[in-house]
Amino acid sequence: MDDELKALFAAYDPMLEQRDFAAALEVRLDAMERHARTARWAGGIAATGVLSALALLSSTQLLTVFTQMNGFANELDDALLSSAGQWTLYGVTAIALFFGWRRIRVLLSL
Amino acid sequence: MGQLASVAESLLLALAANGDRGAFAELVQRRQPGVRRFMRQLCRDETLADDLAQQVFLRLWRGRARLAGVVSFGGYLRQVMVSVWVDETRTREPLHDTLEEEAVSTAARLPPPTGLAQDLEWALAQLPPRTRLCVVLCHSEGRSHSEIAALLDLPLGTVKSTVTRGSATLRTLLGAYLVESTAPPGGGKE
Repeated sequence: MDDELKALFAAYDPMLEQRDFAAALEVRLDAMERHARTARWAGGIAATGVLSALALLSSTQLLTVFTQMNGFANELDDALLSSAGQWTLYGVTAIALFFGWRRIRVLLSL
Repeated sequence: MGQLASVAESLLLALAANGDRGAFAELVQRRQPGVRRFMRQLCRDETLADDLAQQVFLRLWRGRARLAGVVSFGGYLRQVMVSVWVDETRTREPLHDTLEEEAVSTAARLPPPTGLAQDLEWALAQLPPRTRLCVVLCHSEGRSHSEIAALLDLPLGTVKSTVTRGSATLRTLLGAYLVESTAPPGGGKE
């Protein structure tokens, strides 16, 4: 009995047009790839922003600790303190970005 | 793409897993008739069937990294096809059939014959979604009851009774074709 039904299904031929299907699929694949690329870039930019903010925050914190060290502020004049603080800020930011860049690259390659 | 026509499917899978769009296009070329046929039987609507078939291939491309480790691509593809269809039915109609629904379906009668393809699609559309899926997997895809049970995560007994009920309904609706041993009534072909 089931063989009859199987034969019916085997004879089923919906006459499919192959070219239109492949072309439409190509368009959708391209759109999907574009969307994924945009998402990767957005993720990378967001990660850079977060890492930069963290770097700035940590260097500011470090600077605060630096300037509050016992007796340190009294021994250096304002100009030197300002210069040292700035260089500390730049240094810590550069180090954070140097290490953070590897993470960003991983995110971009996802 | 023409030079890939003679390449073994396992190699195409490995290439596609590495992001080769040409190899993936060749896989699509080879497999799309089966996928579209499957979807067409399940949803009757040509446009929706093609949309669902494309979703199958989009899903394959998104998870292409997994293609390299696939032992049986046919089985993997079938899993994705079923998954896409189940997701579709979840948004449109419930997958849980009831005996009442079945009774209503059986009450339907075949309209004047228009050709095997249309009549078979019409008859399948009278079945509740889960029954339709089980019947197509069994009779069209040639899957055993136990394979269907594993694929749909259903008890074996449920699959057996669902296929039996669905087949009986199809036999009632497509009686004219079956009596004439799959020849369409009036000799008309699709």
